[in-house]
Amino acid sequence: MIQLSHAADALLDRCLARCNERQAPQSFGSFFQHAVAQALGCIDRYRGCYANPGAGQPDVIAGDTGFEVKTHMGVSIELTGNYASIRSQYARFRLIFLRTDLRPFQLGVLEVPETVPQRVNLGAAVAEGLKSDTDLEGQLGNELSTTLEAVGTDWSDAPSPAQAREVLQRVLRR
Amino acid sequence: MRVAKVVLGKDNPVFPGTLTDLQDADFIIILGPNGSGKTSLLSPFRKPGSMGRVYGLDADHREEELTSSTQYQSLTFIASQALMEKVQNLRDAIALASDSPRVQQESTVLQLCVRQLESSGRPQSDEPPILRQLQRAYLDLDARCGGIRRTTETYNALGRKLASACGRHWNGFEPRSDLAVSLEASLVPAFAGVRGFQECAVSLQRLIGFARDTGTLGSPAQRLRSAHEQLTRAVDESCTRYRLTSVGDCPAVVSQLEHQKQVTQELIDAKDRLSACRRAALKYLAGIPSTQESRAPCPVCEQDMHVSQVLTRLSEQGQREGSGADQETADLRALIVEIDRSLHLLQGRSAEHARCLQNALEHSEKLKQILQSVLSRLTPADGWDPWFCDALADLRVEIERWLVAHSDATTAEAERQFGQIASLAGGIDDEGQLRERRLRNDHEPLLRDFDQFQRLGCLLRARHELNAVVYRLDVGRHEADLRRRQQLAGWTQLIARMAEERRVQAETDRSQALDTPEAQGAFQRLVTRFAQVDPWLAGLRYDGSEDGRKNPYLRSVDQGENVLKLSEGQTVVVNLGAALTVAGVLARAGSGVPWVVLDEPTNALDQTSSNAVADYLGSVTMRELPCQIVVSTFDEKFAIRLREVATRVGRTVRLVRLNHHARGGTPAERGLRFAGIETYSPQRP
Repeated sequence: MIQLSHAADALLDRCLARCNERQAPQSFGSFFQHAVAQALGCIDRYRGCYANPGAGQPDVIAGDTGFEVKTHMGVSIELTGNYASIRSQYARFRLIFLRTDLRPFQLGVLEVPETVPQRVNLGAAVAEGLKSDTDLEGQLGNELSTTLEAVGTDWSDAPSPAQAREVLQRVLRR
Repeated sequence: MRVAKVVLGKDNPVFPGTLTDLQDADFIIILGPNGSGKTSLLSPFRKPGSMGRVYGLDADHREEELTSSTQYQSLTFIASQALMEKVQNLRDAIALASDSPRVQQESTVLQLCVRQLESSGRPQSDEPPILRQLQRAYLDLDARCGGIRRTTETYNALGRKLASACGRHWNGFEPRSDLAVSLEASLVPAFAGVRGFQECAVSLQRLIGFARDTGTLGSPAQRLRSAHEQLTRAVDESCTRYRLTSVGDCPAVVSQLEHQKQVTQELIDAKDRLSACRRAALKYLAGIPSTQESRAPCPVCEQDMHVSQVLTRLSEQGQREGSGADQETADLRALIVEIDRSLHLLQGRSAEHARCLQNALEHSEKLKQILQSVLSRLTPADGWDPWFCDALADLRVEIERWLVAHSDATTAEAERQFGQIASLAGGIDDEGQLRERRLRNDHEPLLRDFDQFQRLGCLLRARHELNAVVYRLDVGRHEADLRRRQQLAGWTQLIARMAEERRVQAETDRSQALDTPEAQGAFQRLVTRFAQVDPWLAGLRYDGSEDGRKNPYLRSVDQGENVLKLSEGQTVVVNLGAALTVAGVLARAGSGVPWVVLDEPTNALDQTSSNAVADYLGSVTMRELPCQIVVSTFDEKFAIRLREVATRVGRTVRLVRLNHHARGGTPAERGLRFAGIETYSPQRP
């Protein structure tokens, strides 16, 4: 696990606080998902990736790689649902998570094996049978920090995830 | 274990003293007059220590100290004052008997443990406080950069656009000039835009000349304005001064007037001398005989004339003087007065002139300083508008010329020229302001860009400082800490549950003990025995309820209402019943109550009541109160009656008689003095 730059961390913290103020803590996940999709798009290998809001598909898709993006409070997470069938459609599958119970937030990228485990440990030690994608973790950390710092409070204070995504597109693509 | 011996301590007022062989006595009655040391003898029962100690005998007849536990002391030692004061708190007393205080105490200790565990289990963050402060500052700055992409690239792009726009708008700025090169270079930031921003800001200030927040150089128009204001003030002062210095020729006028006064005075003196001469001549001529008067020189004009003719002429002249010459003298004298007045005025103005002259010299020095200061500030900066540069050059020439020409003292001409310089500066200032307004209007978008550029620079600097803070969360340690906290939380919950269980148990025990029919029945039986004192007392019931101050309500069976007030004697009796009930409950509960001590229980009682108390106490059975009873009294009748009743119901009594003890003196003299110790065995029917 790595932590983002302190500036990016401050923006994420502010975004989460705003979501909590609006009584919509779950919307923080969508905010984060869009930012991750934007940052992933800045990495050569995943250029052209896109976020997929539909059910039954990974959160972000980049060619033969699927990404599940999670914000989570706690040291372990249950992968319930149809992860096995989603996983089977992609050659590579990554779980990108943000530990929101820690300050600074901790970002991690796990390689999800073909046999999807029921429970995944998001702590300092990776559970047996799982592996961290440390390269992507580092790259994504840098890109996500840069992306968030570029959009700043325009993004964190956006009233909804959809508007935050608009901010990302407007500010970063001009 | 029963009381066998009482040994008085050295701090006891009746020390030394020892009372022995008490182990067989069910009743120990201490009888003696006031001041014989009864209460002192009982003090070791209340609180063992330097006042004395109480000993018992174990199964092997070995002495062992006996004490009443602290929580029972007030229940096992009943002083007369306590009996008279208020109805005893039966609820607490009976609760003690149920052992609920110990359980309650356990609950309290456990709750304390819970609080300590909770406070020690709080996570301790290593996060430096500066991190949060910088985050807040960064977020505040970021919020002011709405719509700007907050990257170094954006910053540089914005700077280039600004530099280019400035260059196009400004005369004499060459894109390939040194200034342009340095500006371009400064736009590549060394520390994420921090140093670059500062250097670029300075370059832009020099280029544009506008006064902005970050610049140290003022605009030419601003400099001119301040110079003009300073010059204008100086000219105003000069004008005032110049009016004051218009009396410059005063000394010459004074000198002329003094000369005129002197001449006039001389005229008056000459005229006076002439009159005196004429009078002398008349007198002389009048004395000359007529024979000689044919011809004689005139005493005035010294021409030979007939005396009579001279006399006639002098006489006529005298008449003329009498009519007109006095008027002339008076005019002359008036002239002198006028001259004096003028001189006085002129002297005053002359002093004023001297002061003005001094002021003018000082002012001249000030003017020189002003002009030198203005001169030093009117150096054009690189890249300034040529019009400004030319105007400033003219102004500088004028000022330098003035300084050369008027280096010594002020003159009206110098003041006039100074005014001209101020006027010139004013003209340049007006034109400068006009140009600056026009320039600002033309460059409004450029200035907005500049503002944005500044905000972005500040934001990048804050971000750099924030990200430079070294702090990394040790997740492994954090997780270990979390596990420890979870473990601690589990323990805390367990202990809290135990504390709560004990609290509930204590409450239940207390309530059950209070509601015990045994406790209430014992009280009832004891109180009923006082019917001979007052039949009304036999009708009292205690139902466990209390008033607001935790005093038990005693309900009168006959009247069906709570009894709130009892007489003193009734109070003693009821309290005695309550105290013995509590002691009985405690003793029977095996709580280790070794004795019950009653110190002067008959205070405030009449003889009938006193007898009743003796009967009552004496008839208390071992089943009702399974421990030794120690009673002190001054009342021999009461003691005898108590002894008789007690032995009659099968209890052994030891009667200790005391004499007055001496205060002071040797230990042998002041010690406890026994008058006799008697033992009474139970009477067999």
